[in-house]
Amino acid sequence: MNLSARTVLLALAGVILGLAVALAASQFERPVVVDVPAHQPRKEDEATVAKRQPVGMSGCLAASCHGAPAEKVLNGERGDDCWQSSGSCWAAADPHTAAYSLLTDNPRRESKVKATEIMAKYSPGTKATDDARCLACHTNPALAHPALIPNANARVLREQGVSCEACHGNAGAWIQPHTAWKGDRKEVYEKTGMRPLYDIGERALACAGCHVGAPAEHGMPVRDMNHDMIAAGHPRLAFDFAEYQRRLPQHWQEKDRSRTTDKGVTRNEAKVWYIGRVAHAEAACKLLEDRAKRSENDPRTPWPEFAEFNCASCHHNLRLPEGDPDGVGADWRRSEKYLAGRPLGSPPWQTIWPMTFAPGIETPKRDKSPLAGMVLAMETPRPAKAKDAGAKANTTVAELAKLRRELVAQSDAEVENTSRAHFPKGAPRVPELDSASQLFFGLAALEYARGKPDADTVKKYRDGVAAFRSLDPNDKWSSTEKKWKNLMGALDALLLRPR
Amino acid sequence: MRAVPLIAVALAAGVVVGVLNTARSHQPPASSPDLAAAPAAVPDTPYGVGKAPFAHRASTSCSASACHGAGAVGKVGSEHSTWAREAVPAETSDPHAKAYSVLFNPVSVQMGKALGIKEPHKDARCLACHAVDSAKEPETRDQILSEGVGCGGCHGPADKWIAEHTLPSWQTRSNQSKWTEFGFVPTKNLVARTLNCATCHVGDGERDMNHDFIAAGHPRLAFESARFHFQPDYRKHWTEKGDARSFEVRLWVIGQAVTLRAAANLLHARATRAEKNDKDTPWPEFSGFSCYACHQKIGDPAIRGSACETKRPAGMPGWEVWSNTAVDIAARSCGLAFPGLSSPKLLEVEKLRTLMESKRSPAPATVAKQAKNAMAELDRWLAELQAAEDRGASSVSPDAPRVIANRLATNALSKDGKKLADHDWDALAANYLGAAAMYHADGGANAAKTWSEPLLRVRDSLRFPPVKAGVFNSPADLDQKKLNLIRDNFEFLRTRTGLPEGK
Repeated sequence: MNLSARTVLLALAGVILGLAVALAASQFERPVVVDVPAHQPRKEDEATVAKRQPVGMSGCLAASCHGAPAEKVLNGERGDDCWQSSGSCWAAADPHTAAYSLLTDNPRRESKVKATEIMAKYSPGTKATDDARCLACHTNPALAHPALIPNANARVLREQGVSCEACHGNAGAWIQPHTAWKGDRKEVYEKTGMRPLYDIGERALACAGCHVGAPAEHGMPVRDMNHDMIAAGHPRLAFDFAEYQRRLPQHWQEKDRSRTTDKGVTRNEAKVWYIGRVAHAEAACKLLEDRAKRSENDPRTPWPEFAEFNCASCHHNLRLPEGDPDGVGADWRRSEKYLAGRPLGSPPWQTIWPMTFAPGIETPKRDKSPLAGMVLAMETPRPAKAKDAGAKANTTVAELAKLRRELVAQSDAEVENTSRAHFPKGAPRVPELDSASQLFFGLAALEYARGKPDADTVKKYRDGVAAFRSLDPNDKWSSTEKKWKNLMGALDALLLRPR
Repeated sequence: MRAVPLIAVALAAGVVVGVLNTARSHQPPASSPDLAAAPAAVPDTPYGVGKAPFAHRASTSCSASACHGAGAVGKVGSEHSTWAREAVPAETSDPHAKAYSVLFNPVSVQMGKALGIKEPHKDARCLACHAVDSAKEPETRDQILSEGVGCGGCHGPADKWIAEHTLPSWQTRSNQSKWTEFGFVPTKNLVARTLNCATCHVGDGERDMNHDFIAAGHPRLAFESARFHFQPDYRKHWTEKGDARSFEVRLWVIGQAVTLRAAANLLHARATRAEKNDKDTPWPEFSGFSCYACHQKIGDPAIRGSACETKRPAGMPGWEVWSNTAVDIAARSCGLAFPGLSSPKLLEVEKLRTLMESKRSPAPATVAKQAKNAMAELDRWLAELQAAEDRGASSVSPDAPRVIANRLATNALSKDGKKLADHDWDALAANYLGAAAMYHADGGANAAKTWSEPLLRVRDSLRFPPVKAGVFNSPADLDQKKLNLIRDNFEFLRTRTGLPEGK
């Protein structure tokens, strides 16, 4: 009895203790987190990557594959059968088709500067079509590997410009599986090297690979359009993922591959914009890290790389301190508000609002932005050591990648609210081209998030952006003062509209 | 009579050397032979450089009416009266007298605010050039400061020479001894004088007006010795030795050497500090590069100098374009300004240029080393020029100014003459200013009428757009059209200054 009573008692005590421990453990358990179904890139060895041979667009454009008549898609009708004419749509209207031709003497698109003129200054005696640095973005980057440059077959494929495989990845390993999807689609993407462009963050990164730049990886050469090239005549890169994507003839139907449904979805443009900004910052930091690393051994990689900085921070005309023609203040570059802790005379790092602080916009503050540490590392220690800046870039890339994945998993409303919080309430006086145009792009995204705007509003935005592009950043505040004021007026009107 | 054995000895020596040479000639020489051994008397460095270890005196020590304060502006014995603006109110005076007082004006205060300098008139970085700051005793210090760049600023600390320089024995002392023993800057020697000017107007180890200051509103430094001597608002308190033509030519050649020497010295100081990771030393230091290399318009490829033969790689700002552009012409024309002197070969300077323009921000230690080598090379040249100056003001041939102007015009053009050699505003201005100095040396409007026309046109094209409220303080409108105009006029100038047909 006694024994059994003791056993029961002990057992009871044990149970109570166990319960208490379990209860306590459950108290300390982390709150429920959303599992992120977004694409997680995995490390791949060069040999695997090398096996993924390119096929070329003729492999995709058969009439029964992606080469059906594109009439419907080009008119904006994107049904479930949209994929059938995706190739034809691209071939008919996508600006990426002309990418390679811009390197030749017969560009298919009008351009201010010819490639030969740029090469005469950038690398005299070299043809742009033979230069890995040029080809890296003007064709499928995988075909621009220095070893492939003399290859005649590769040349034929390169002439197709930034075609299917430039964005979707070399098709050698996935062209078969993707015609008859079996099993886990996500897994096939990962195994075969088909780029998971359904993940909007991954898609933004894919675009940023050329439109911002990227280190050499996955069998692709370094993509770095730097100040030397700009000085030789190449236009600067002024990328906004959401805006650029909207301007493309869309040859796909948006789908959410993280769910089982195969139905089309409508993307929230505010979310697309915000994730685009994060991916842009991620790509920029990754490129910075690579530039810093290369500058240590490669005498052709300069440090500091001037293209890291805001163009107009140096390329502005010098003024007399007394001048203040239109109230913006010719002296704004020296104002406390603009400098916000940056040493005077040190050029500001590039603006990637709202990941960085932007002059004239209240949010985020210079020391509170996601890139505050990166900005500080590039602007404040002088000399800014390549090693330190590179190390900071490395940790920043990891932080941004995490943020990007979290955002992809969040609901549309949630991300839209986050992005809205950055916009100024009233009419800001933005004194500078980069911050103003980035604010414009953001506003346009918000407008689209509300639903497709009417033609008038679209025109207003397009005119605004076009006007920005035609502005001479040098004398914006004097000779083109009127133009500038009209622009600010348009911005005011948009900002003051009820949201 | 005694010359015969000397000649015999010389001949014998020649034979011996010749034999030795033949014996050695199968082997490459271990070092390049000295072609013309420099006269032993010329040291490696010029005097008048650095800081004399003596105390400064207030200008009141000089301005007694029996000394330099007689009150008759422009006359001997009235040097201080001519210099000081208080003594004789006039439309012009010596701007150095205002150097300290400008630190109180609104622009200076604003600039200080931007730089975190509470009171510019108390800050060592400002005072380094805007006053003579050395006295320990507060009252003396205040008095000397208030004089701006007073007597001691250019003539050296007077404590040791003030008594001595009134004695007849002073005249017999060499310039070298006046400097080394007394700290007196022999300003009559144009090398000593210009080196002294450059300590502030370019900078040195203790004086550094960098890009941070310029960003805050300080005007850039663009020292050109020949031009500075003829500033319209400058009231000279002395007269120059020698004829006007020779003076201008000598001064221009010396000015080129001195300016680049000072720039290399400043670069050395900056690189040394950057090497030690000094947090207040930016690297690369932007003010060492041409302002308008960065502060230029972008967008239109035609304004990026596409039609010029600028040697720098695209995307690379030029290092000290201002002081590098014409110095090679000055070196080549050394014998014209100082008959008998040979032209120096500026090989280390060339190496420094290559280093500074081949890779952005090369390692500070490498730069410091090369800057030192370049400085030593320029110092050897300057010591030669200084010795020549001490031998007496040279007399240049009447042809010299025209020849040098011709060389400068050629220097501004590409090899085939069809393009500009460098489209940077600083390069164009340096060539123009040199040619303008030569124009004045050649008698100015009275004597050199044939080349005034192209010269004036280049000047007009280089002018900044008119300064209205808030508008530019830079060559904002220097576009391809203007560059073409400048090219045409440099060619015109080259033709006009070239040798007449048949000569």
